[in-house]
Amino acid sequence: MIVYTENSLDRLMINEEAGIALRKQLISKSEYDTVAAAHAVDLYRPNIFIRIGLFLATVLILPMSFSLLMLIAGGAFDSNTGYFVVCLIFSFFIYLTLEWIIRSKRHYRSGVDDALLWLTLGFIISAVNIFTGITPLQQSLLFFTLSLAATIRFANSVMSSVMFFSFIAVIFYSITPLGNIGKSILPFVLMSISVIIYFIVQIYKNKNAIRHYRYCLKMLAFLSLITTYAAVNYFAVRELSNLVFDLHLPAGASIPGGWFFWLTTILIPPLFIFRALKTKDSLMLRTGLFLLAATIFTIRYYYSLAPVEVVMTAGGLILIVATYFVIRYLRTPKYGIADKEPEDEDMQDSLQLESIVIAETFQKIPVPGAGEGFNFGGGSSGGGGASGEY
Amino acid sequence: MNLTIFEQLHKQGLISVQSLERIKKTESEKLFSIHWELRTLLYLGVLLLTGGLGILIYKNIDTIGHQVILALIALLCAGCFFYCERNKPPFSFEKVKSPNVYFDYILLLGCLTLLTFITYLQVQYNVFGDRYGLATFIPMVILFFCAYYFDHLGVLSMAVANLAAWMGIAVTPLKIFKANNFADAQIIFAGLLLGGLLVLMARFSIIKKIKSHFSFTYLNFGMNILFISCIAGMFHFDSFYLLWLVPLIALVYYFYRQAIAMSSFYFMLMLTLYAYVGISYVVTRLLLFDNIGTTYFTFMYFIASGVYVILFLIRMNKKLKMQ
Repeated sequence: MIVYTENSLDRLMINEEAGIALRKQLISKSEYDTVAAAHAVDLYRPNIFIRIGLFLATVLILPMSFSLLMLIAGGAFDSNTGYFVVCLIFSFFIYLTLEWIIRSKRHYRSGVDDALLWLTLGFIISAVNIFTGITPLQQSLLFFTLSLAATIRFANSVMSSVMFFSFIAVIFYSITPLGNIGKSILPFVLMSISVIIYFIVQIYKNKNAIRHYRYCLKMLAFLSLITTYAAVNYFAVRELSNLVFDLHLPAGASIPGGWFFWLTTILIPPLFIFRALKTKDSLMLRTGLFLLAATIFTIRYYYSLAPVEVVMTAGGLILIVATYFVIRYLRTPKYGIADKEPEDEDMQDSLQLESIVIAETFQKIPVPGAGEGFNFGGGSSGGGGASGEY
Repeated sequence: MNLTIFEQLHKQGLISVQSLERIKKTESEKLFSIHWELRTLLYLGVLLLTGGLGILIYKNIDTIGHQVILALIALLCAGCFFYCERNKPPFSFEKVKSPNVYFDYILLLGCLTLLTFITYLQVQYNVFGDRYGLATFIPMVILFFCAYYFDHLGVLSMAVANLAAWMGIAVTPLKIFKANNFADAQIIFAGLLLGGLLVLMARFSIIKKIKSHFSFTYLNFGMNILFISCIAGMFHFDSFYLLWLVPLIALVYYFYRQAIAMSSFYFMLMLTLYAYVGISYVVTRLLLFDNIGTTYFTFMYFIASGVYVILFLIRMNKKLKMQ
């Protein structure tokens, strides 16, 4: 199962929790220090900038070593099979290094281990693709098997997103050959699978036995919400069936059962938002808001109600007024929902970041694209999963 | 927060009963905050509204007329500055906390509309004529003044960008590679000058204790501009590329000292990357000097140097953490 010592990860979790409690001033500094001393973390976790540097250096070294190896001994394997085997052996050695660096050097999200993990998979997958003819279904099965194994072994949340998408791809490529029935049930199959995955994650996310996979589960919950919507979004269904299944719809023509997909496109985001407010689930809330924007784009793509500038002006006005009233309404918390700045935010860092972002955004002449600005923090639980700010 | 963890910690005698009770109380009273969601929506609304209005005005420019638009922009700008002046906390050379959430954004809007106003005047009525220097110099002075007067890091970044524009360079990080081709020797030396000036400003802010929290912004801009100009110089002055190692190493040494002094992981990473690019360029050029046999050594150089970078960063991580 997981490559890390569970005890080390537990200590890390205790330290993080104690850190949050300290920042919220729920425990004293001396209490924090005793906790930190009693549960000293024995993992090597460098600072995020050092991690970036270590990642880059590792990504530089390995392809260089491979090239040198090929330059020296490349003549020896003059057949494709030879190269294929060498690539696989090389990726096997990268994997061994990865195991060694984690188990004896105790690296945990240090940049080196991240790089080695992705390089292992990269080498295997490129070798298979270059030297063998592989069908899309086999390809997605390969991705799925590798990323599933890597997710279980290394509990990496970005890897779990690869696993999720390759799983969806497996479903997609196994259903499409089934002919017309397959094509027409595909959206529903994808949606139900996403819903099932979401609920499975909801059931297991607080189970103690899989506590070290919590970031992976968060990622899966987020992605399954997205695919639940995307599978039955009118735009996705229409354009995908046009493109992949050669439906050749004339412009303006609807797909069979189009009304149903319009219904789901319009209903799902508000449903998410409503449920999120009820269950106090911020991940779902952000996803819902993001999908609401997707719905607006979908409608505007097919029905141009008014020129874009009128829609933008009116929409902006409505948004400002509505948020203003919600902010006023929530001056005193209602139904356990509040408008309060979260306390455990590192303000110093975000301020300095902000000044860079402002310099970035406003030096350009603003392009009137409504597509910009929809960068909700929905996906921030990714990022290697170790940053702990989701 | 995970209550079972804290219960265990209490059982182990590491935290007191009071602390545990406090944690339990906070956790049970925890509210679901939609603060950032609301702020994002508000920001989005402002973006949409201004974008939409911008296009509306642009499409109807003939019926509205330039004077009206200029007057509107001026009015908005004046309104913003009026609000900021009324609500600003008393001036101090220390860091001043902004009075409320909206203050920073309104000040930003005021500065942006000011820039728009001046650009508009120049484009439509050619107020500054061909004296482009003046057209960037005036907003730069105003921006620097606002940054210090109202204590705003974002406005300071805009002012620095304007200073660079005045000196002939667009400095915002993303555009630095796109907008300048660095083929021009003049730009390289202007960059060195500007970078040096910004680094001096950073030192000055700290030593004189005049808004010492501005020093990070100055130093950050200064470091990136200096290093990029230096490496660009190495590429551009082909026959003297070895000579450019001298300023590069001097810069690395200076920023290394700074990074240690500030225990800044960020500066440490950046100087490592820039130094690596510069040194590797020199080494590969020396090794690949029309001799294919040295390709082996080039690969070996990259492997060895990569390993060294890893060891160096690990050591620096330890060193900076100790402080």
